[in-house]
Amino acid sequence: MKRLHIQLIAILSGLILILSSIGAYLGAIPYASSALVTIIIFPAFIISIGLLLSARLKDGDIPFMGY
Amino acid sequence: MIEYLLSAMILGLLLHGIHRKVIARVQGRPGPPIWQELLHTLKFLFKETWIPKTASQGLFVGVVALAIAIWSAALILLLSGGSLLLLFALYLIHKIIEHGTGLSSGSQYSKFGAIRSVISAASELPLLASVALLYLFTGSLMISDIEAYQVINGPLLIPAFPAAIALYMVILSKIHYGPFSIIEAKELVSGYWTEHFGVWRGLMNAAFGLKTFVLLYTFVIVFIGPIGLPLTLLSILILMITLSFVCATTPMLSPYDSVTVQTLTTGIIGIYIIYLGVFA
Repeated sequence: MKRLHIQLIAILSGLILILSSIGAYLGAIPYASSALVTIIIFPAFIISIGLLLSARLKDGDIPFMGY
Repeated sequence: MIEYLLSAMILGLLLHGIHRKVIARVQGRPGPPIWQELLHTLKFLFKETWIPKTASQGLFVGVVALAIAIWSAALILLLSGGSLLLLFALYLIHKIIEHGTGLSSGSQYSKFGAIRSVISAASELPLLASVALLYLFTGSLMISDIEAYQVINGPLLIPAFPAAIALYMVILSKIHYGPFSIIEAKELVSGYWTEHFGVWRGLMNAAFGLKTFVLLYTFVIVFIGPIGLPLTLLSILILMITLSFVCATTPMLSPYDSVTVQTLTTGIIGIYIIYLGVFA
């Protein structure tokens, strides 16, 4: 998956999580709906953040070819 | 809600750090600092990450997402005072995570861990006994009702002591370095999650931190009752330290001994439940 796609998922899922939390506190969204959205979106948010933090893949070490 | 999940994850990882520290001190070692598991998780998140060629790609990543999702659901369920049976169901789904993690990578070490996870299905039996006994006392399986019962009648820890022991054993069987931790025994490298590295390992670590917090929080809510946040956190800490003492002083049992001990405990509590149901 491209880094841009992962960034988009991270931003979108983060926004949805924050909005659903605020919505539940203000009473605009039922608690159960907010909980369901959080349970589904939270793993996507955490995984995308993790993949964004991970080091970029590079070539491995040159194997030992003998003297 | 996200704030609760992130806080519980961080607290759970800190509890893992305290667990390692207490074990080390009991065994006469200095041990790592208590924030070591937090650093450990961050370290994994910054590593190169890919999926092994031998792995089932969907399952390899799916179990990580599922682990985060079910323990998030369990925490939200606890906070909203939902049904203890639903919590029991979520706990059983954790078994699928253990199997899936072990079988998804294609490595024989993790497969052995998954097979041991199947064998140790007996670790779920004490939870069933605990839930049944709680129902006999409170007449309800809603966590909010159990809390309300304790506000009127006092903590369930003393009258329902066998149920508390059963839940304690359930937590003990899911904690790292415990006598029942046969699925991640060192003879299998890291057991069922040997091949999950980099981001996958870091996130599973975070999910298991959440799991530890949820299980300890469940114990406090169900057996001590609503006592306010500071006392709840203190109770969780004390409970964690007692578990660490048990882990530090008990050798890891062999797989069949582990199953035998868990089944025997359930049997004894089952007899107690029948006694209460029929004679009391």
